[in-house]
Amino acid sequence: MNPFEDCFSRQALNIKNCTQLSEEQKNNFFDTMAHAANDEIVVRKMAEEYFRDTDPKTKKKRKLCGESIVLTDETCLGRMHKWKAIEDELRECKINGDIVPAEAVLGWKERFFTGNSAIKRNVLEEVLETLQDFNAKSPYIIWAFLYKEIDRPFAKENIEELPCRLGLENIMTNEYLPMELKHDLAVDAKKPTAFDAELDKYWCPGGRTCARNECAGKNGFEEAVMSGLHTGGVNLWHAAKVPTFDLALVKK
Amino acid sequence: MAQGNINWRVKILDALERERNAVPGRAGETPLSDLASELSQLLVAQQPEVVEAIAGLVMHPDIESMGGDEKEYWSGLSFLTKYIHGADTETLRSVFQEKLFDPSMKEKRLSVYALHGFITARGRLLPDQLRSLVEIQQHAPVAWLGAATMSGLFDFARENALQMLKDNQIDLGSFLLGMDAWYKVWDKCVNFKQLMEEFRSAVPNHEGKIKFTKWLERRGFLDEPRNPRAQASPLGRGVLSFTNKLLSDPRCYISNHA
Repeated sequence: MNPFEDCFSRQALNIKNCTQLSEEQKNNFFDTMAHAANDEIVVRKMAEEYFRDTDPKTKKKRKLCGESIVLTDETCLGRMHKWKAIEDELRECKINGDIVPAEAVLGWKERFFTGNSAIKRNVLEEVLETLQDFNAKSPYIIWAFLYKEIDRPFAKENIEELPCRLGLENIMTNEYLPMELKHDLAVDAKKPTAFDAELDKYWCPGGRTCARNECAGKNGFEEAVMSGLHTGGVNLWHAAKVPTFDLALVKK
Repeated sequence: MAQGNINWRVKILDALERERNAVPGRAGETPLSDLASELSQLLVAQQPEVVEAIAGLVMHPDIESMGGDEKEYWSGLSFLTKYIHGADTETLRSVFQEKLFDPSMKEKRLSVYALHGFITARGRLLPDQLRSLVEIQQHAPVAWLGAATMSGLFDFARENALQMLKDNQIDLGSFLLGMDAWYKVWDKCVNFKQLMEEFRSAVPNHEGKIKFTKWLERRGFLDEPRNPRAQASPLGRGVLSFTNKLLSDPRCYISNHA
């Protein structure tokens, strides 16, 4: 068996079933991985490098090669951003190399989950402002899920179920900063391919999020990947706002 | 070293190495933040093996596996230390302290990570020890003030912060983040709003003062509600309780300022 299939059977199946990747793209991947030693760490490293590389023949990046998604004025982009990821991004200030304590993020988190809508907005603004000065992991792919209910986006959803329905690693809502990304800028959004998903356990081909077993049967959301976005700087994040479902959080 | 089938040393090194070229996942996760999540979910009984692994990596650094990237190595290790809760971190304190005063770390400007690791592992320093860390004080003033605060040296931290702010030696964004983290450990007898206003006054430029004002506003410090108890933010309520304590217990004031 191919070492990749041996170590990451689910992800191998995703690549095989991904209709957005050509047979040639799939074969190239499995041929390359056939040379890997059968060790999970080695296979993972080699696969990640492969996904992030440029194809030497076509000179095109292997990521963000899925079908384009047309975003309209009625499309809302939702995102759950992990607080621990923010802690990691704040590890060191790029201005001067100073180190801030991660507890600052806990303060934001506490205010976000206990405060009213105005406080939530304040927290989000502050997080986004702050990240601009830090070592943001950029530029990178931003994942978002799509809504088409312009009047009250997010309002019809149960936020407690979102991480599970989105197939995120942790199902606790308070592990994430929920936000709505505005797309008034010309954003090139694509349907994610198995190469974009890399080794994600809870992802499946087809352009919709893959719910975890705990909430199996719940509909997924249409999902998109976008390129060239930085955590800080002039991009989508600037226009991010707290989604309507924050009202549900206030009631809790 | 191994817990069950987990070899923490290998796992930590792998995460540190992958972090360098990480492409964040669907919720912004990176290899280190994933490992941090995993560590924070460990039972206390499972943590000593992680402590041992980190201590081993501090004492006998394996920079080669990081392609020689010492900065990322030490930054990552000190970051992970925060996610060990409940376990005895004596070993970590001791190894980080050794590195903190190691001249080669100082030469390479890596001591700040050792300081961060030491303080995160609940290490405490004396004023003279802090004063001796001049280079960190100059290049990473927030980390240095954090060490003073976490060591319980509030007056020392306050005086130095005031001076640094006056001299424009500190990045205000980072300082305010620090205050977010420190307000919970700061001497409960101190009126935090007053302290922050003192800091704001010390800032020499207008833009800097605006940053402070925004910080105070966003936390409800500058509101003057009719019914403060009902309207204050959680942080604001904290300030009210400090103030009430101050009014009801004058000894608190005396002990802090004697």
